[in-house]
Amino acid sequence: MFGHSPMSRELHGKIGWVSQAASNLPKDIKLTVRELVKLGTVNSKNMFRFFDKTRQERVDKAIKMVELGDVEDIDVGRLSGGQRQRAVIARALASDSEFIVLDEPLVGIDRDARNSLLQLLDNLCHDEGKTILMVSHDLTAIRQTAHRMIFLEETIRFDGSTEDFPDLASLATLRGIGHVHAHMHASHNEGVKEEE
Amino acid sequence: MGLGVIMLDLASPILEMLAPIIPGEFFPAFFTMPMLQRSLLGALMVTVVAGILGTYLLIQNLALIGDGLAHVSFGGIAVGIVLGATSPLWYALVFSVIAAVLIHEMQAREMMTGDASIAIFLTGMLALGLVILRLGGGGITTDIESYLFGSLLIIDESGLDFISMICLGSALLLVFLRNGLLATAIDPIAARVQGLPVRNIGLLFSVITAAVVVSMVQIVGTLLVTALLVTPAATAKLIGRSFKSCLIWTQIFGLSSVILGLYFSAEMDTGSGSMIALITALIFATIAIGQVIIQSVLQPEDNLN
Repeated sequence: MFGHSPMSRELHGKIGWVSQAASNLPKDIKLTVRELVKLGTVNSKNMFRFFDKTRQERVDKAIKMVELGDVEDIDVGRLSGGQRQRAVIARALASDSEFIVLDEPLVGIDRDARNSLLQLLDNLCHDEGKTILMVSHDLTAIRQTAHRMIFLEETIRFDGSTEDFPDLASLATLRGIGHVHAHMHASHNEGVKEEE
Repeated sequence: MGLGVIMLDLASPILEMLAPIIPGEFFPAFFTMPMLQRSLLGALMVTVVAGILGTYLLIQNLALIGDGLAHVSFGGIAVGIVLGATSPLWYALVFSVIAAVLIHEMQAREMMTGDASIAIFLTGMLALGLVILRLGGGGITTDIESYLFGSLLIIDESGLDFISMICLGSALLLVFLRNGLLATAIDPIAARVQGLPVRNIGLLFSVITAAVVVSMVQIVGTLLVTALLVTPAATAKLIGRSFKSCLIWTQIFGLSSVILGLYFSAEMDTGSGSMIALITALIFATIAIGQVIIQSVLQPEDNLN
């Protein structure tokens, strides 16, 4: 990754991580959006630098990017699912990382929140030049937004440009369920999209 | 000259200045007599550090670790007493730190969930302490009782040195670690991706907790440590709106509990540790009930859910 082995020290501060539906956050903590986003600026290299002015600027910028300015002093426990997801994305942005990994960010948020989130990711990719890797079950969302898709089901079933991704009928064949209409049930599948 | 002596030299002019405005018949002695000044100073220092620690512990759902480690310390104290140690608290410190590291490692390796490993250490070491005391011929003497329920009067000069050293050291470490510590406590996976040394931070935090718990033993006793470690922080969480405000409220509740607790125990001649613990619980109950009443008055429609 960036020419270094995974988890090596050179990568610290270069990768931003957005957990599944922000559900990793403890529910009852009293932590404001601003306090949460600020945590993203900390890494092993700057942990003990307490008078870093750029930290504040990065936090301001990240909050602005995800449009949470008017709730920045509210504790994250009181946010809606979509807002909390945005707050966690802002934390990843505050690290100034070029590469952002999102694990199922679309789970547990409503349609409007989903759409504005996808819009946000699109902006981050095109305007801010971030590379975004998103793991999702939401095939439609991925097809609408990603540049490259990797379709995982037991193994890599598809890897290529989004335009080349097969339609639903050939997708069924791809998954080996073309002839099992009677007992067809949703099986585990993950779409991976990558924007560059 | 120990750290405790320096701290007392710094604090005693302030305490003596406050003495004339302190109410009560016996309580003002805490501000004038060096022996009681030591107790008051020790109690205040421990409360400040315990409050900071408690706020982080609550985020990680580790409220009972203090109780567990305090019981482990009791085992250490018992071993120290039977071996004829002059200050058994050093034994407690060693036992408590080892137990904290082991509990942390068991959790980090996912060998056991937090609660279960704490419960095993708690009962195991308490039992060890009781058995060893019996074998040593003493059983539970008043001396040992003071470690169980706390006795401010056993804080001598070396006791205050011990407390000052642990409290100042821990406070310093907590201040330096604060960013990494909060990131780790809130979301360990994200902290790891960001490149924080999550494991080492956790380990260091465990050692700090173990040390602070031992320093609290003389103030509130092994059985009541949780009262100062967790209750003020839990009360603060009821009304605080940010992490920062929780830290501040914790100090307000913790320090006022200690002062009120010492006041009532002096005036009513009860144990200081138990009175402090009782006050922390009363403040929690008052705030919690008050909040429920205020909320049901302001938003009665919420009750429909």
